[in-house]
Amino acid sequence: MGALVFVLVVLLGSAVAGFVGSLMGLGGGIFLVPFLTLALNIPLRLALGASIVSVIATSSGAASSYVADRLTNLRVGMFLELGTTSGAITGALLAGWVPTRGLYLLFGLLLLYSAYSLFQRRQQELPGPVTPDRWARRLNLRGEYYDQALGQRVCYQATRALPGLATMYGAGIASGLLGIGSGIFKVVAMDGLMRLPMKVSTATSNFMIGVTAAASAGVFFARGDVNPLLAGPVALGVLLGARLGAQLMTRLTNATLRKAFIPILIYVAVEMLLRGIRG
Amino acid sequence: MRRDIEDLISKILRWGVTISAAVIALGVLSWLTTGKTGNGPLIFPPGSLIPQLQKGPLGPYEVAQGLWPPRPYYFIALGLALLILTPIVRVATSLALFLRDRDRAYIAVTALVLLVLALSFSLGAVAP
Repeated sequence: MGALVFVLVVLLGSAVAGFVGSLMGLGGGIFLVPFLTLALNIPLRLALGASIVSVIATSSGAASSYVADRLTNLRVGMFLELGTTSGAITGALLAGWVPTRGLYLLFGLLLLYSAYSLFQRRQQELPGPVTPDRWARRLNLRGEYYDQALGQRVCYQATRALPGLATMYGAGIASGLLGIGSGIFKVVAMDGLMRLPMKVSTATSNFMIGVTAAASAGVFFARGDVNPLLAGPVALGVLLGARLGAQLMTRLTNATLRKAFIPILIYVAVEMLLRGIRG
Repeated sequence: MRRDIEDLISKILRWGVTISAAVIALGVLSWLTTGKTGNGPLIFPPGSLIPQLQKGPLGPYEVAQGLWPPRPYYFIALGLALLILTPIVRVATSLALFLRDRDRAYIAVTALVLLVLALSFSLGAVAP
């Protein structure tokens, strides 16, 4: 009886995490880890192991919907992954050498600034005509998708490829060093810096986070940080939530998605600032 | 990327997710119905909803030896392993497509990403 209740509670919490995560291009860990550690008193290591599973589940659970709608831009995703993955290795190698509290403060402030700039652009539906820079042209960083909410084909063009890559490197360092997910930085960089439509940014971020998480998942398994009795229900809940979230997302307008993203951004920013202040 | 190929990727993803979810669900159900995890009894601290969960290494060997006779704990682990494969299959499929399209820039990009991922795996880097 106790086991059933446990499984149901975990399923429910994970479904919410997967739903929000898939909608926003995040891994859901920012909700799941506090839920597991604070609400359910589960040891942090096991919560992190379950979280890495949930990131993959969010990614793959939403993926088929996003690919079917052509929202995920494979080229942009793969290109930016170069930055995130090398950054992650750098970050992991730097762990222990770099004081983390200052970094949490820095990232918290950066995210607050991003929330502000997102707020300023909250009514913006599509980026408008974008002139690609040289690298964006050479790398063919453009695409088109059918927007269900607008009822039209949308063609888009990314720019600032190298600054985007550099930002991804920084985000990767953050994730490797601080153990945080980088999905939020990916969305902010693609939407704000590279001028991709918001829905493309979240769908592409959703693709990328799964790839990076898969790389480290094996390590978590080997170290014993994944308990199937926890991670199993988490995976099932997240898969369900992510599937629903993806189906909702394709029907939203870019502006609605952007507005919904702002409180999430503020939540994460505040969480980071608190970690930076409290240590 | 041609239309039919993207639909194929979407289908492969859906199948991969469905299969791994089915395996996980089967494992969870057999745990709940038999009351046995196959990895020792679950201890619930008095008055707590949450069982004491242990850490335990789950390499390929551990999972394999837990599959016959099938034990829920390891069966779920197998489903999780299948789930973890889905993003990797996705990258491999993308590489195959870039190869077919002879898109040299992205063959290089994708191959590099796979290389960095392999490197990070071997370094044990934690990169959520």
